[in-house]
Amino acid sequence: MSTAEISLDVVRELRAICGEEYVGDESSVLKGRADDPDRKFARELLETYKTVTPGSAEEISAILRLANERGFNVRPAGGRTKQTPQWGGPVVVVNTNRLTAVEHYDPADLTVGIGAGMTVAHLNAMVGQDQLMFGGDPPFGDRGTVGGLLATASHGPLRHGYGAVRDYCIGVRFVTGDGRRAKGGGRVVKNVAGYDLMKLLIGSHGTLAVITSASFKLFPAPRQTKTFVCEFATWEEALKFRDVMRRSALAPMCMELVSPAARRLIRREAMSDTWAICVRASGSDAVLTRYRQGLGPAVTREVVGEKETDLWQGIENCCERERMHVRMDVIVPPGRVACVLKTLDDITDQRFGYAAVGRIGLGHLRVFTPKGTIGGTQPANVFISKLREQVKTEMGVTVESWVTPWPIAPPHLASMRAVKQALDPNNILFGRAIF
Amino acid sequence: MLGGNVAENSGGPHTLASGVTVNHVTGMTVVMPSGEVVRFGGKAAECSGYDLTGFFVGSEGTVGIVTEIIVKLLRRPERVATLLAIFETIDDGARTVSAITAAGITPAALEMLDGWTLRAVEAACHAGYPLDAGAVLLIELEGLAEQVEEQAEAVREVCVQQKAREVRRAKDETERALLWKGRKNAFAAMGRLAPSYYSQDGVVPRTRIPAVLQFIGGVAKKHGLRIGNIFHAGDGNLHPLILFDPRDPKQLELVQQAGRDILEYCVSVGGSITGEHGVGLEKRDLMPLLFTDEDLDVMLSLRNAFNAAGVLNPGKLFPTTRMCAETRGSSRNPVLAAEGM
Repeated sequence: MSTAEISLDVVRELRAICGEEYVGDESSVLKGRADDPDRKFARELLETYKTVTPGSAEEISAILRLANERGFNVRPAGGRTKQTPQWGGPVVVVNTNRLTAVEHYDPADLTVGIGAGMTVAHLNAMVGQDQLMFGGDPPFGDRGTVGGLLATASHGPLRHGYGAVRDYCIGVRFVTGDGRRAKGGGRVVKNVAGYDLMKLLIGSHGTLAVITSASFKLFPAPRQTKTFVCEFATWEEALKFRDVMRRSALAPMCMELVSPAARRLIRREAMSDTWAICVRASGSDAVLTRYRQGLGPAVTREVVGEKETDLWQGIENCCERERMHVRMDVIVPPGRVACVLKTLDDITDQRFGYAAVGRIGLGHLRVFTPKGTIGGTQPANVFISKLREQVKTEMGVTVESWVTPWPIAPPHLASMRAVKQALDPNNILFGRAIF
Repeated sequence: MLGGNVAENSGGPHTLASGVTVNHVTGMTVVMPSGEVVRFGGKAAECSGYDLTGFFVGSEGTVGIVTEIIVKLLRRPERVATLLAIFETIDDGARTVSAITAAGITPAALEMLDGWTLRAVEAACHAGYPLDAGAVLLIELEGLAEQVEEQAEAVREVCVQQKAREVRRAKDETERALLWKGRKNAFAAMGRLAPSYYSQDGVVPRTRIPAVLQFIGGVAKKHGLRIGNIFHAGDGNLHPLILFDPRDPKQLELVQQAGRDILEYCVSVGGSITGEHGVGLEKRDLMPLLFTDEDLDVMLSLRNAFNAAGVLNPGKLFPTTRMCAETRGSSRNPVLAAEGM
């Protein structure tokens, strides 16, 4: 769909809402990223669509009301780390990058409220000055926005010890698909007044509303951490170790499975052919010694300081190094992880190996399968199809950059459609194709 | 019952580290207003699609009746330390709450009783609370043995820095159970002092606890009422207990006004009207303190998406000024109607 299909009248009205300098084409917005080969797709996309970069929730509301009147679709965008292709109808991309204000922050309360356009890295830098940390460490946190993190329910290794973003998001402000400005929750860590609208919006992939700001619980930053790398010849052995860990009193910050192929994607792990479980613990010397004793002979390496930071950044962003893979997040009951790995083994071979990392204690795997074809079919399609047969609906699967983020239809589609109808009755946000 | 906890998104003393109900529910079976039975979520930590499990938790029975729940379980901690920090003044106790979290410690529970309340509790429960204190903090730490011992020492130091006159530690499970018996039976102990009490559930940022306690003292004085404070201090979740005689209509009026004054103050400092008890009928008309017309309109449209005829918990949650809209939304949601729901 080209910009020509957004009429000049609409463009004029968008300029009247946001100011002329904030209405343009995507190519101008992405200037400076052309050196990144992974942006090829995005660049083509962005050159094709009109973009608006509003400065407030009021402006977003006006854009959405205009979209409802004039019949064009709106696609919210943050740091574009989980870019989803558009489908059907004239589209305006609404960037949230200007929404970066700090709404409230008192370090002693361990809470913060910020605009949806602030990056996760910026947030962490801000609260880090007070020895606090944000619980989310999604891939590409240097450019991924807080709004994007909420919309996609992204997470990184810290999810093991600190929970998912649904656990520490305490309030959200947003504009519904039909242009209503609203909020759920608030600024305090315990609050049951009204419906929990945070839960509805987190992981909704921008299909219900444009998130404009959010409030979060913060956590004290650990004063000392150490990572224990435990290695195993097979994933079966790794899972046995995980089960021992889950039964123990140890409660690490992170416990991440890293497949041999994923280790090869992480520069510092390049020479490894074994499965690894990386356990990151925090505490005093006595506490870390206790972890070392508890982990036993599986530990092959202890990592601290800059090397430890590099290791975890490598794990978080290892998919960035592999540009030709489909990236999927699979969450199953922890006892079904073996089923997922067995399915992957069955459908892949030496030529089409897969890579996987994940919060193995929680039943999460981030899987990377090649974009090539096996017998005319993409490995990702084969994998999802097999998984659907074996795990049925007892799982969550999201795929990046597919037409629908949910390749396995949720069992409660009618209720989902009812919610969509309530907040975005004209299907302005992402159209109907998500279902 | 668990179903009630899910409907209210209940909390309790140990939510400070472990979270509230919604943080532990991964799936549920729900009977919709039409009679249709649907399932949301499952055994996995996340399922595909919208998080309707999370939305239904805390919806106060206004969108469906939850009949089955899937919850995560937690492993019992290796060690537990329960401390009782005793303060001469309520201000010192209140300031200690944010000092503990500022020291990087997140206790499993951090509860506060003011002097007046703890004397009533002690008379009823014989929990070993000091009768001459201005306030006590009941602090529980859980986790690895090494970690708990270090944290217990750190908490003791913070309390002493904040003018605690004494910090006791429960020597064994019996002593620990006794300390908690006092806390958990505190509401019942109020029955010895007055025919009835009105408990509030406001929340403030934890740094505002000293100010809100002073405010509550002022409210008590202004209305000539006795108000005790026993609450989840670590979360900033207050439970002022306003004693009264329901046979006296004038007292009833004063108590309601005092409750409203307190909740208005909570909201004015960035807090909420309810942390765990829910809105229901009692606080529905206070919702506009927190939410704009448009906020409430969005919530009502979601309620009507599932319960347009208002057959489930009619009149709950939404202020009476929105009741016209509630009645007006009597047509069925077109999407659910098409699905036969």
